[in-house]
Amino acid sequence: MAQIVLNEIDKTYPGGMKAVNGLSLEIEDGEFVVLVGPSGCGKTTVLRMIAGLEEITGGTIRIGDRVMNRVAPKDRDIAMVFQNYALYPSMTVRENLAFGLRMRKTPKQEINRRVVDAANILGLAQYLERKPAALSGGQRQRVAMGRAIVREPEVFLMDEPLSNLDAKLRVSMRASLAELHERLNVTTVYVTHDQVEAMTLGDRVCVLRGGVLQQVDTPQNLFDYPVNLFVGGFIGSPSMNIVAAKLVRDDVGTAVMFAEYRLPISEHVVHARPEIEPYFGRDVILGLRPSDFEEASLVDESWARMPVTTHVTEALGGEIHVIFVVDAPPVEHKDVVDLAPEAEEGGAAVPLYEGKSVWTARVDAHSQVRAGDRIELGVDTRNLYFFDPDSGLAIGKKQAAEPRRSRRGTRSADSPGPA
Amino acid sequence: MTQTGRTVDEVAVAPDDVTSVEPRTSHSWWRLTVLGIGALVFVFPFYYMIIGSLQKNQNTSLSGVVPQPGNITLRNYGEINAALNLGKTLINSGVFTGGVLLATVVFGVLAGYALAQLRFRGRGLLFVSMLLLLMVPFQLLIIPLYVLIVRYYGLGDSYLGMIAPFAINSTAVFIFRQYFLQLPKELFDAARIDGANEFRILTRIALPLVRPALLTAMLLTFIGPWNEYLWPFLITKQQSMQPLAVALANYMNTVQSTVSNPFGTILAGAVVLAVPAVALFLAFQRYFVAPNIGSAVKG
Amino acid sequence: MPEVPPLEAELQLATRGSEMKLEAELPPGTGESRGTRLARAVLGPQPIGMAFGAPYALFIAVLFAYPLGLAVWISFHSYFFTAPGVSVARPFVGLANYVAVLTDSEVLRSFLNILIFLVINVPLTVALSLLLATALNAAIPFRALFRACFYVPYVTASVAMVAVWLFMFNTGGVVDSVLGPVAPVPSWLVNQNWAMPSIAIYVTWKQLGFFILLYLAALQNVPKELYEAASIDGASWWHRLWSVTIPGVRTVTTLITLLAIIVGANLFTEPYLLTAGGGPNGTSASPVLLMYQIGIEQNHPDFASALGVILVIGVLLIVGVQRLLQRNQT
Repeated sequence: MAQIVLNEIDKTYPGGMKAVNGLSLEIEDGEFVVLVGPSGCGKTTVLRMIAGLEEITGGTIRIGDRVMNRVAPKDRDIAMVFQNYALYPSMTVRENLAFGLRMRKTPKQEINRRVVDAANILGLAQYLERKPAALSGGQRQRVAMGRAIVREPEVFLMDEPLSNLDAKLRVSMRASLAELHERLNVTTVYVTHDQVEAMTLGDRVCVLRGGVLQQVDTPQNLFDYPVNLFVGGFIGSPSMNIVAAKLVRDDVGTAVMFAEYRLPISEHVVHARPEIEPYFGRDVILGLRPSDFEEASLVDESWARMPVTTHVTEALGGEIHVIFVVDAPPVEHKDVVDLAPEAEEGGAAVPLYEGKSVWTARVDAHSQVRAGDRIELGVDTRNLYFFDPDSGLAIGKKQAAEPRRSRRGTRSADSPGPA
Repeated sequence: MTQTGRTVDEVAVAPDDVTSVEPRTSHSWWRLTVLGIGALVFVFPFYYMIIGSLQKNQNTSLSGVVPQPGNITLRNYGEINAALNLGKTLINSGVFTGGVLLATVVFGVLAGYALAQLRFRGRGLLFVSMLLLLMVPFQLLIIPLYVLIVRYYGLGDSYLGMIAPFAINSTAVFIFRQYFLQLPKELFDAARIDGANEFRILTRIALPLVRPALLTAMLLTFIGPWNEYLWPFLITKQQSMQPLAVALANYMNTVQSTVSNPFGTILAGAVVLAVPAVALFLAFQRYFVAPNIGSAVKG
Repeated sequence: MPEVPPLEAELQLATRGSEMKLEAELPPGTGESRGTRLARAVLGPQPIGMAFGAPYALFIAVLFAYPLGLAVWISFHSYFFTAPGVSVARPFVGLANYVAVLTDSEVLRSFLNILIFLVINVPLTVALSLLLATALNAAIPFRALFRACFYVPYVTASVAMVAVWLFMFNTGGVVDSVLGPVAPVPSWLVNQNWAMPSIAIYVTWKQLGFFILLYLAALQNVPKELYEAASIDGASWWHRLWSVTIPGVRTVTTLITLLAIIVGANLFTEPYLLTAGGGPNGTSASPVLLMYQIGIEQNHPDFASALGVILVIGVLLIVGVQRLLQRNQT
């Protein structure tokens, strides 16, 4: 088992494309770290650099006590699970599991013991003599895991290992992955574009954008205290509603204003976040989590009110997503554009809503909202997010109650933030 | 969730013939008519070749198209054997073809793998040279090759001289490369992490996956030297070194009136020359299909 | 089957690969000796590739690059074959051989012959192979059998096939018997006007199977939905052919044209054997046939080399132009 230290690593492809830019990260021994970000953010490149499959243009990578920049993949004592599993089609499951050990001249008996152990852990014992083509997707995925496990490496590297499974299987495999990590306690670096996977699996989650590390923190802290608009928009599902707004302080009190709405903010909140102070009378970008809405009749007077016309309702059983239109132009900050790369091709601008913002609110399943209703929503104004309209950085981040710690209680890097 | 990456064993390296064909319609009669006429035009010369080779006396009239019971004989095969020594010329053809096949399979696979999967100094140059070689017809180089091989190295009338210019079939190298390129990159990454060296990756992982391509390439390579006429014709003076194609062509040019049915004798030789290639292709025809060929020559 | 990337992209990739920045800037003492780092910088990240590619590289150097250079050298000198051991002066003659080639009436006639060949061969090949491939591109009975029938001539030795064609098209052969009075006199292969067209038709027949397979591959890549959409839009079969099929197989059509030119530049066996050494008055002589006859039989390798070099340049020019056109279209 080993600690992994990335120090200012860079990756520049021939032609000048910079895939990773000055990324520094310390991963503790036994920690489960997830790299997450939209496609093209460099997360897989980082993983492949740790594996030694991709050359490092600058910086150093250390695993345990050794600098690994120039060490061949096979000598790094790592195992990797690939998105498409990369099982050797011409070999049986047993041969697939044993291949890495045989290449290392592990004694036959030892190979056999480890293969059988891994097969038992993963429930593959009865499939050992089959070829990968005769297995289901979930079984192939487990063989891929098994191939990593038998190696008993210092580090597991996983590149979107669940994304080829159907939704249901993905959830159950996610649980087994977490359980497996509890059991083996091997340092793991896990790449995904799925923020739900990131939130549920990671001791800590690293959000990347354009090859630059945005924030590293525990899942809850990422959700509660995003450092910028990008992280705020990326983490959370449905994603955060954002709008250009104005912070005001007048006779009536302190409030944030956008479109036809004025949401009062208690002085209490302002007091707890003194960084907001200079922004009164100025433009900000306001972020509202869908989960901070509720139907007005179900909440007390401390929540602000927002009358809206529901556009569409999506009943999910346990909750209802209310989709409504706010008469304010969509935020065109760079952070938002980066969240949806396809928007550049004109895919996101639905002409139906041109010049307006589409918002989502999550309300209780027992609410009686119907599409087209005029309803009143309650907004929990204690949880408003404010971002600087120029830099996109969070304003007046609530102070974390205690030092950020990973779930396992191991020490974590203390100053996350944009590199 | 979109299924982005395909898993390895879904990769279509197996020959697949009837992909995306139009559904059977009531209009298939026109297809059958067109194909039937086409097939007749294509097969008739083969049929006629066999009929002609069995004629006791040459019969070029319409009635000669159907076998005449009184006019059938195997004597022409005996005559051509006496004139050409079929055994020896077939061995020559076999050595020529076998040498090319062996060199192509061994060195061509290595080169194709290197071009597809390995990064080394000079790869770009090697690739461009291969493309150039594919474009410049061999026939245009006969003069300098003749000068080099026959005059400088004295390899006229030798197997080595015959094989050398064809030794590694570039089309086959190109096919190998295409197939190695199509294999998922992760497979190679996984094997490298598992600690296999490149030679092992090639033999244990890559080659078993491209077996169909190997066969396609070998079939295409086979017909080159087996059917080649110009080069062995240039460098063999002694009949004992000539492949069948050359010996037969020479015989055609100097038709012996000593035999009773000269054309029948020539056609008997043609049958002997045609049968191995045709038989091989019919036996392995499922490897000689459009997608394989397409991926080989689509540039 | 995954789509093969176009050649340009491949070339770019390949050449870019060789220019790849092969060594990273590293602080000293990061786990690898200076020697290995230097080796990687010079040889690339996977130097074993050089060993794998070496036999093929050697083959190219010795049996392609060197002969090509030698051909150029010979073409600029006065060169003829001598008895072994005899050394003679081979003076530099500048462009004299090229001038001789380009003013030689036989050579010019052979170029004209190739033009005749192409004018007949290319449209015939394109039309027939597209027709047969379209007919084959369906779930029909005996599909594999039909396909096999079509490519059998392609895989059979030209020498064997020429023998049958000689038998069929000979004076008084079965074709003449069928046609009776309509048959040309003198007969096909010894007729000045028919010798080259006969070869063009023979080559079309022999190669067609290969092109049918190519078209079939291309047709299978044309999305079925395009035909369905066109049918729904009310397009007749002619319109579907014109606006869906033909654009869909355009790359193969250009490839066929290209290969036909190369085959034409290459013809030897057919004019030599089918039309007895180039037909009456050289009306079916091909450049390669002349290279053999003049270069080797008549001992003028310098002349033949110049002709070869001209043909190589011609082929490469045509390939280049075709690539350029294709790129502009896409």
